[in-house]
Amino acid sequence: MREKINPYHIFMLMYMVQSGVGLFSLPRITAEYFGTNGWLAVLVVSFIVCLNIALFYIVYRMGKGRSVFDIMESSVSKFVLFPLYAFVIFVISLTGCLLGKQYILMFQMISFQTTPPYILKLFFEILLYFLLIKGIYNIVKASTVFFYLTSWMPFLMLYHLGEFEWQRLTPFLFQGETSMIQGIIQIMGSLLGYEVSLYLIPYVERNSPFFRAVVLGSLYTSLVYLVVCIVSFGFFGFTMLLHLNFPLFDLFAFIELPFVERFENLLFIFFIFKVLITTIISFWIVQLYLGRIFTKAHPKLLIFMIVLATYIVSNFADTLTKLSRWLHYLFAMHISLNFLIPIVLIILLNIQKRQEVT
Amino acid sequence: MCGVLRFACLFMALLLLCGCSADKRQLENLGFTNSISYDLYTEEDNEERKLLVTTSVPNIGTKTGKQREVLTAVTQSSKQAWVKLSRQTGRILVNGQLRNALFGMELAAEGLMPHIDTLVRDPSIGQRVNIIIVDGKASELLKKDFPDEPPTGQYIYDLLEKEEKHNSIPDIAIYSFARDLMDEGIDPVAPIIKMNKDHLMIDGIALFGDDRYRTKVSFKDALIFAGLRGDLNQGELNVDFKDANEIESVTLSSVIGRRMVKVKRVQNGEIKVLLGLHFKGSVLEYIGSRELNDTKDIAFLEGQLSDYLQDEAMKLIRHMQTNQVDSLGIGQHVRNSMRYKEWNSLDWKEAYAGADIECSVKVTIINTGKFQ
Amino acid sequence: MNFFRSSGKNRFNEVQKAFEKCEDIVYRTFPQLDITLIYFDHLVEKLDLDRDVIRPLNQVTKNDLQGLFKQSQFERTQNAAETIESILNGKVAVFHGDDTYVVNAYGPASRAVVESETESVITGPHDAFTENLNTNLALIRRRVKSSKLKTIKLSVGEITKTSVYICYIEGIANDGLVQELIKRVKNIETDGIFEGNMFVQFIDEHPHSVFPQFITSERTDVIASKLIAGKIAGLVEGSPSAFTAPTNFFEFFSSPDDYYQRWMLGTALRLLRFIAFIITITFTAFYVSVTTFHYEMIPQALLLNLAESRSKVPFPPLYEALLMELTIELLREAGARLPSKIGQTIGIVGGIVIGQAAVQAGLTSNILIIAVASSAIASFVIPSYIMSASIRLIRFGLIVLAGNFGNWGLMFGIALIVIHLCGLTNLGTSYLTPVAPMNANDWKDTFVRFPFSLLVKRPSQVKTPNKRRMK
Repeated sequence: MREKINPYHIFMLMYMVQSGVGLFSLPRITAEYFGTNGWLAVLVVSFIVCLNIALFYIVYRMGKGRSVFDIMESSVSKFVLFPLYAFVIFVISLTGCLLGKQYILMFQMISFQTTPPYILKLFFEILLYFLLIKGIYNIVKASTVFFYLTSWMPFLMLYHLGEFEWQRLTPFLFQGETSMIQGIIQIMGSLLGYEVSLYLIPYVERNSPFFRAVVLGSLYTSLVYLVVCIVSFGFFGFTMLLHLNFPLFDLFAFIELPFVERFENLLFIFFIFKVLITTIISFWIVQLYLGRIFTKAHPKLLIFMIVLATYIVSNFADTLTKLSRWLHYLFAMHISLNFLIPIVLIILLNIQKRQEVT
Repeated sequence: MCGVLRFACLFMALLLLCGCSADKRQLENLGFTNSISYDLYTEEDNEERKLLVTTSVPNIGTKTGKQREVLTAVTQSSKQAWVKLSRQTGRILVNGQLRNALFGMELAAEGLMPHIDTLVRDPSIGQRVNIIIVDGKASELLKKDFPDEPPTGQYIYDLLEKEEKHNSIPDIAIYSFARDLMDEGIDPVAPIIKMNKDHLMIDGIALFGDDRYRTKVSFKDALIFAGLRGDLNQGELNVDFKDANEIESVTLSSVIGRRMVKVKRVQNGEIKVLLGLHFKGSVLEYIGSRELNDTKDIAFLEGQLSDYLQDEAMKLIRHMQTNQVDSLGIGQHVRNSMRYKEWNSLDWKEAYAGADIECSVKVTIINTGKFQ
Repeated sequence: MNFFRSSGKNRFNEVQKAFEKCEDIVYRTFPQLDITLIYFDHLVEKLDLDRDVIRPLNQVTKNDLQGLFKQSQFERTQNAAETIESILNGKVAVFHGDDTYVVNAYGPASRAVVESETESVITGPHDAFTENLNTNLALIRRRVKSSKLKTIKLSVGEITKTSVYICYIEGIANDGLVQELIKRVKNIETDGIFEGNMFVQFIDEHPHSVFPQFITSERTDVIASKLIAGKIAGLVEGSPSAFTAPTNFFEFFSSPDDYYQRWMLGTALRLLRFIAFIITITFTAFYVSVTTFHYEMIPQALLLNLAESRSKVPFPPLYEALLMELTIELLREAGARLPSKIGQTIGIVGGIVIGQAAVQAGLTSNILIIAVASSAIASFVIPSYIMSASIRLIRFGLIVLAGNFGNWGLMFGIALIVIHLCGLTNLGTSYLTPVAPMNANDWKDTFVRFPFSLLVKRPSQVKTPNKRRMK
């Protein structure tokens, strides 16, 4: 067993896993689904995420640090579990790879318009493969380094303060055309990734403030999201936001430095680090599940298969609109899984406890 | 680790062979459009209205002797024009370095929305492209070379940059124009430039109602207009007034202006808006009979200045109201004082024309220079 | 009696046979005493030999001989192999009847302790290690006057039999790491080792990585300071470079200068080096990327100049950059191989003639020259020569990536480097230590250099049982 992961890193991992390309469209999504002052919805969703994490915490406490798989497999037969595993694998791997693909397609909007996306995606897969085979401990280390490489980005929002005006925010709360349930799914979709805390349980030091780090990391992500949304609302105004596909992109485009203009080009590529960690963590979870099904397979082979399979699948999603439609359904499934799995686990743990007593 | 190495070698070899050559934008092969202009174009015997698009591309490293290349095309839409324009040059025409978008006055009166839309949509175009209205034909202005000045595109850019710093024209880039266009509570504005014999000149500020050009603010009122539109950090005010039948003149320099907007609702649903302006500045030039070291006289001057500015401001406001252009963004404040339903049911354009907008100006003279 | 005698004779013959064609060996006989000495003239110190062996033997009578051999300088050897090894190590073998003794008179010619050329500092001690192991040990002992400084002697190389000393301070260095290092040294299978930097390649965990994994230094003060921080040092015979472990990536960016100057200056210098690192790695690549793909990122004021100078160049930016980078590397390598007087000429020829002429001939743009030159200069700011060479090599990869895939390729390359670095370990500790796994306390002496009053803890990477300094 390698060293255990320490809470600092969990904090950074949570931030890196949660934040991703979703942030680029998030301000529009909040405006579109929640109407005026939609940025407040980020708070609501953040609260829901915290509730979800609380469920994980209960599992952690009751399970006494046992892994999810141990808990499940000790009282449910494998034949029942495998279909469930397959479904989880399907949802998580697809969400992960499509998020990566979404990033690539967005990137193509800015530059390399005529390069086939599968070539650009290939680069991404290479990074995924090489990081994934190094194991979770090194993934966490990489996420820490990537965190530092991107930690300065939220401060860019200070640049927009000069153009920020409160009256553009309007005093109206959630007015205009809204569809909140869809909106919550979308916003939660961009906050997904926190479920990794459930699978990390066996890898962290017992009695360390692990879940405190998880919650803090998640709150930090929400804070960054919130700031970006508020700035977007105050910078563009509500109506303009509705028309902007990727408001953060336009915010970045506004930044001009004396030696570099059109900074968005570079800033957007910096997001590769975040997207990489987001995708890699979902693949890691998938790898855990696959390892349970194919107990004898070599991990490198499994990883190669995951990367290859998702690479092929992602080639079918070739337009941004198609992709966001797919992602919407996947988010919905993913979120329900996030609630379902810990609830099932809690029930199982209760049963196990009762069995122990008798 | 060995795998990484082996892979790296392989990968490098592959890279040297292939690469995304189609997307290469090598600097020396490019024609950077620096400025683009749009005009209405009607042929004499034809009623059909077309678009005249002109762009200016700086020549770099070519031996033609000319500093820039001017291309024109007449088409239905601006994107079509792009194809036509690039057919005329040996370089790859790119718009990532676009700085100015000029619109002819005639076209502006027709509505700018479709053109703004194209400019905003294209990710290769920056957010800071200047939107400029040309008094006359924009393409003629762009085609013209000004011998004493840098190439025309650069000249326009420098001119605007400088004037924006001095607040004599608002800092209008494409994002702020589009934003104000979309926002219901404010109407966009844009600087107007004019060509005289061998120079360009700022002519004033164009006021838009939605995306159509409606009216303008003349250059001498520009600073007051800027003060009405928002806070000021710099500027210079020239004021002439009558004192005991003699015309006196004061220049207020380094003007700092603060704006306050108060919206009051009178009982019968009428809207009353109070604009409070506070200008601070130093008097560095005064032609008149008063002594500038006397507190009383300074108070008198302050009074004269604020009276004058208040009159001018009120004139401007009435002018905007009659033309139904809410360039000051009063709508935003009115909206923020209402409930959502109320605002939604209100026809702001209509209400704006009839609204009771008052303005009070206060002037503080900070100092009078180093000479008593 | 006869049997033993023959055994003594046998041993002598065996030794004689082993050195059969070694014409530099010296036989010296004392027939009246029945004594033969065998030694290498050039490995022994004449004075020692005279004092310890020759003079006593000249003065002694045959009867007192056994008494003489009881003196401590005479070590008795058991067999021929041991004797041979001792002779090779500069001892004098004394054959007397059945018995063989060796006397240590090792004292080969060695150069004086002079300043290190590769790691010079402006202020600070100017002594550096030499090729002589004893001198080197003496230099360390002179700085660390503690009985807790332990030295373990090991031998490496089937043929060369190079001695290696592992030094550590007991109670501060982690025992597990010391044992691990000793185990690795013992496991080395090779014919010979000639240099500290060569030696560490036999004990690192990732031999295929481009990055050096053990920091080496010729400076005694560096090694001494690392020892008291809880690290383990290794000295290799015949090499002026000593290594320390565990090492992390950021250690290569610190220099003793940082500690000898005021802390603010030290901090500024550290930061400067990290900036230099970023410049070295990305500057040329970024130029290539921007001029090939991302023209819109160039500020307006620069655009005209850049495009103008590019327009005269017949090659794509990638080849232009590779050409210039290659030229610089050629110049550097040529300068390094030549005596310093000619080296200067190379500098002038390269810097002025080629640089200027290349621009005028339209082979490169002048802005590229600036990019290439500044990234080359930046690479020399990094104190460790080995690390700076590695970084220069990586740069080529990034340039190629940037030339083919622009910023995307550049960022991909950086991500790949980070991923690679994350996988590296040194003696089982993470190579990226104070960053990942993170240790906020270590940051005080990584990217910045805090005042000494705040540097109270030893670095976390050494896993010391004694965390606070001054204990």
